[in-house]
Amino acid sequence: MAEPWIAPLDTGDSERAWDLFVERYRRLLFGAIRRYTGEPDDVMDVFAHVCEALRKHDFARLRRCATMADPTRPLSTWLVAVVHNLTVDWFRHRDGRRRVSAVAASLPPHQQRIFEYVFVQGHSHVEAYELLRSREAPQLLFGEFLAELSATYRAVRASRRGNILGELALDPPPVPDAAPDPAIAAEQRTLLARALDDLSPDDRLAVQLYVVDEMPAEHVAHVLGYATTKTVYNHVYRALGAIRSHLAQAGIRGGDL
Amino acid sequence: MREFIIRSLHVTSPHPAPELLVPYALGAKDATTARHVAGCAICRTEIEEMQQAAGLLRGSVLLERRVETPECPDEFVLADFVDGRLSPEARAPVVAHLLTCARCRGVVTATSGFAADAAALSRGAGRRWRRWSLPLGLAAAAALVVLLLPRGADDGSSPGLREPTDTSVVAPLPIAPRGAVPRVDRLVWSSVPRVERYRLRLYTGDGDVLWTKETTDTSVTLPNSVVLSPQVTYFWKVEAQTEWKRWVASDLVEFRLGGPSR
Repeated sequence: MAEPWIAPLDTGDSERAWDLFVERYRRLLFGAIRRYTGEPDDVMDVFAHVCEALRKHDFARLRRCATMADPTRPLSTWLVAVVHNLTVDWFRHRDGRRRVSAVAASLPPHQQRIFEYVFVQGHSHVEAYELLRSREAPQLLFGEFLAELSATYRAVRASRRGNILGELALDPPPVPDAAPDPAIAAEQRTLLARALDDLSPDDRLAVQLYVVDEMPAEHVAHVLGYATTKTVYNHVYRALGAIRSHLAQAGIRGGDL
Repeated sequence: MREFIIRSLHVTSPHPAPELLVPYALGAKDATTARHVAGCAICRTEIEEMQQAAGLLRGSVLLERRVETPECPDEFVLADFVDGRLSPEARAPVVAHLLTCARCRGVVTATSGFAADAAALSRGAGRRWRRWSLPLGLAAAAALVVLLLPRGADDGSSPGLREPTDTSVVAPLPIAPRGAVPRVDRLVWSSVPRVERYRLRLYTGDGDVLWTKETTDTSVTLPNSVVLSPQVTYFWKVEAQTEWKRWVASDLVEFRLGGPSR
């Protein structure tokens, strides 16, 4: 599909190009933003942030997009990816400037720190535990930390910005699935890597997206080019079987996990 | 071929196939599979083992960071990956990166989800979807006026960018199920701005209410208590409460399990 904004951009009429671009894609932009927040103030703030980012450095992002233009390439996927990243940036930038995030202000002290480390700074859960222990709570046990972590996620999910925040950090595993300490978590990752070693990278990614990231099977099939969701389920079935047999070979039973 | 091997190794009686067993083991509601599992010790054991393995996989989240690194592909590459436009040579390093990068998998998840929803909406929206154009156009125009004004110091003291009041009546749009479907686990519809809650009604072909549910979400999981029969037509609609005592209803949508649609 022809992109009418590219010609004026190439001839130096950037503002005309911008008007045409926004006219063409504003509905898509708003739709993408509304997936993360229904708050009218937030929607408009993020929209303004996206527009600023697209105009930045003399429309550098749009110029690069113009060089990639291809009548068969839908720009919508790229734009949704841009909106996703900029929404995350917007939140982290805004809350990173505050001493205590507005979302975290009502949380107990440990949960405030967890929020800052995981949601704002992007640390892993284990890193957040080590930071918390080394700076503020040397006696904190990993199990206690996991309870605080789960409580933090519950509070965040219940907040009015829960959808945006869900994009900033992966949900922790339920406590029964979580390793009892960070060293065991690292060991389990090594065990998993060995168990999945025989699968192709695509099959490993299918398992990761479906089981861990909880992506719908239809989307996994689309992204990986599988004909049907049946292929996704079969690969997941095989992968879970491979993990089970490695656990058995390693002498690990369900109750040991 | 691979599916046949899997079935021949693990299935000696009509046990549910992986496409039923896997989602059920991971939490999907499926009354038929649940009935089988309740009476089948082999499947119960298998599900328990699958859940342990999935728990181990999910436990690895504790070590994942969700931040951008210099190795992260840019948005064009990730978009081309989602759209299946990368050559095998370009695709392989992206897959390898995604296996280790939760941040980029988040982009892929968000992008593919939007693409799927957009496709579903464009297939079923018709005239109702176009009702969005007026408020969204006004909102974009209002934002652009502010963006095009001289900026000066960006101290946050300027008048806020605010969406104009939405005075249009936007009804929710039933997305799935519609027409002939292999099974129904959830009912999904489009969101309505500033809605307080949704009310879903499921009807038999004779017009009797089979099930009703209120929620603030845009989907509901069908409970095990609602058993749908194959080759039988059902209807559903969803109403959105936009103000006190004010509800906006979707069209009535028809679906049936299996077989060609009417």
